[in-house]
Amino acid sequence: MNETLETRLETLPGAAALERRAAHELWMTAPALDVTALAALMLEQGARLSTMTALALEGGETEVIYHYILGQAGYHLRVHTRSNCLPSVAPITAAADWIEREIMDLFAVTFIGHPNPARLLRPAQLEAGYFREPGGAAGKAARGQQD
Amino acid sequence: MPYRIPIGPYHPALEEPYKLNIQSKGEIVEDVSVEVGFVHRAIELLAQRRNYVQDLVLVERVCGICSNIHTLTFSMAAEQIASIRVPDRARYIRTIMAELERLHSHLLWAGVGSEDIGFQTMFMEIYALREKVMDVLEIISGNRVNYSMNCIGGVNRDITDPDTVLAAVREIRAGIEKTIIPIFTANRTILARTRGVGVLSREDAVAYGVVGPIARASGLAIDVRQDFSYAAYEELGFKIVTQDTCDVMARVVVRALEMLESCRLIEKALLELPGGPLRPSELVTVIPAGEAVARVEAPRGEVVYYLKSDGSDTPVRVKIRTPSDLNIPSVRAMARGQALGDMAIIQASVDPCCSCTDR
Amino acid sequence: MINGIAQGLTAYFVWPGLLVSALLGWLFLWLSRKLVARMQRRFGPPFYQPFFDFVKLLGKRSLVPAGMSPLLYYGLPLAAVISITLVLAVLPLPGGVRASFTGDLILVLYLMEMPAFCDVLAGFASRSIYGQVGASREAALILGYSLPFIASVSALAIQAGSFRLEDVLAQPFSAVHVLAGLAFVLAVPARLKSNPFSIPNAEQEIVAGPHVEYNGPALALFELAHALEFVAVASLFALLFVPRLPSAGLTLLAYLGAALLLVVLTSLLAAATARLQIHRAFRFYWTWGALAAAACVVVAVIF
Repeated sequence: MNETLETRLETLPGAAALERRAAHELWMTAPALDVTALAALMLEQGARLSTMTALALEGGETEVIYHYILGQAGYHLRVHTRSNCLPSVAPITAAADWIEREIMDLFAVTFIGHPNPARLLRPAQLEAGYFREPGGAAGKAARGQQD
Repeated sequence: MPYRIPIGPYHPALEEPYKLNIQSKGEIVEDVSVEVGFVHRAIELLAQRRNYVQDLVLVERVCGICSNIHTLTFSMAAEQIASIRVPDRARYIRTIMAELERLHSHLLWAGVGSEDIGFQTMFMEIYALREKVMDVLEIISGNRVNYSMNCIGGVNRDITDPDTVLAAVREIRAGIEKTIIPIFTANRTILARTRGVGVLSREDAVAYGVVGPIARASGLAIDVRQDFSYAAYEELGFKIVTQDTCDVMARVVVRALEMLESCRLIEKALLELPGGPLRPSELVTVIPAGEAVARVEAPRGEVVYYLKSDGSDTPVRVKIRTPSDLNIPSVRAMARGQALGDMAIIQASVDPCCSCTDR
Repeated sequence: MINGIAQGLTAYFVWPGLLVSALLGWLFLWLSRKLVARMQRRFGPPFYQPFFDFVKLLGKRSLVPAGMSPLLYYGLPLAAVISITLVLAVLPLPGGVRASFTGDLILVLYLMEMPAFCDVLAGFASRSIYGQVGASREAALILGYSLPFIASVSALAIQAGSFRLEDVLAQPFSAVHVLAGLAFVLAVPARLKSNPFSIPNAEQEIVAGPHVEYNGPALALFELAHALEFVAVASLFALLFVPRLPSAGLTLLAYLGAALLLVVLTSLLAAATARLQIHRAFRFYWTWGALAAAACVVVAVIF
């Protein structure tokens, strides 16, 4: 695997240790990771942004996982928003443009510095953030559903 | 003369609703912007309100063409969390279904592409061949569109008559080799419409993060079947197809050669089909707490699922990333400086799936 | 005098004018659609389909686009039909009037361009962006195909030393006829806007092109003009390039054969090609079309 990329990822501002979950999958949970530095590093390495997953947290914050792929390895870096805001990586990585706009629509996260923060998927009559409802057992309890 | 030309959301060149705003000077395109979201269905949200068995039915409806891929990826993510080993026969059947679906999708694309350059005879030829693929899919699964073949831990149905399928696949391969490839590579009007048109440079391909045949036509050797092998691709010896001319022609050639590779994989899988069970003896309804990312190479490129579970029968979060999410924005990079008349084939060369994008 | 007027009216409205040519034009259009359909594994329409299309459109209500004068909206397709019918009435087909005058060939050439000019004007006047792009494409295409088309007719006129149809037709069949005939055939697919030159009405790119805002009776008239244009092109081809036979009946049969050959050729070409881009079509006509044009004119001057 790419040892230097791993060490460089672990020394990014706000980074934590990488965790190997499967042969080709590395995960990192670093709530305060500098995502613009991450995007610049990944661009330099020729990695592509596969997607970003958003999960609603308690207290109006959002957890965002940046999924990168380089060759035969996947890198999954989990960060948290502050006041539901994150710096945009779209100016660095063109692929992030739509991904961030979608998260803005569905989870009401503000990506600061996005070049075109327009509505992407959300119907005009809906407020942003309509995906922020609990799933799993908590969601069933909230809906009053029985097992 | 400067024009602002809208293509879509309803337009003869589009089968699905999305919108291209074209800014052109005379017949030369200066810039393009894309709008989506006309058929947004919030499937990810619906998926976290339903249990795993219901979700398999739901995610199959993300896309009408690559439906099987979505249940496959969802199942793979769940199997990863629950550490379920899929039986060998099920892995082979999954591969066969995935490759048949690729054949059907690529043929559909080739037909639509022919239609977009005004070549209706080719459209009819290709759709006649595609009909044979649909027949094979129906023989195996009983369905022409949503096959419901996958379940968590295996497959729902067996291939009971491999010989019929094998004969049909050989016939389809002959059709591709004898009609489609020669016409697409020799008809002068087709060459005039595809060579040097809609170029997406290798650098742009990386920046836009394009996946699937678009990336492989721009010289990027990325394919989930090779990079993160799943199902039975490792045993069958998958061979990647790439081109480096980066134009519409390259996308045509990549898809044409991929169809031949699909035929080869299906034939080999059918001949080497192992015996054994198809799925776990008991229906999997509860997935232990955990999270996983699964990737699969759909006909249009990499599909990514992120699944998070809390130990109940309902997922906490299902994130679906379809290939068109990344591929459609790259139309902008392909369109600049092109002829207005080529916009139909340029947007079609991406094989945009609005149903996928607006999942 | 009264006899002359009656003859003229018959020529204009019955044969070879409006009535018979419309029926013939619909037959040609049907044959073309049927042939293409059979080549594409389809059944194709029944032979009366173009007639039904016309009647259906006639029965619909027209919607004149905002900002376009109704006079212009209905006037343009009407002008197209009137002028192309006049071409047919003037052509000295067997059984038609024999009223040839000096320069009637120029009148025919001029009137034959009228439907295309009306299309271009309709496209620009429609205030639709698709109509405007379609109109500018059609204008460019006219410039392209006119080169071999006009040159082929001119070559025959040069050979005869006259622009009078009677004189041109009196010339014995020669090498000029073969060359000019080839140049003429070269221009036909673009004249009829069939593949690979269906560029002005490329539906996958600009919906219906110049006709995008047309509907109901106004569109029916444009469709009728197209059917009549088909007959006019085929008749002119037969007149100029098929030698006249001793009896009028045989000549008519030979003409019909030539016209059907033209239909089959354009249908075959349409089924075997993709649509070209406008600049490629233009380049095609200004190289191959120009070559054919020059060849037939040079041969006509030398002989």
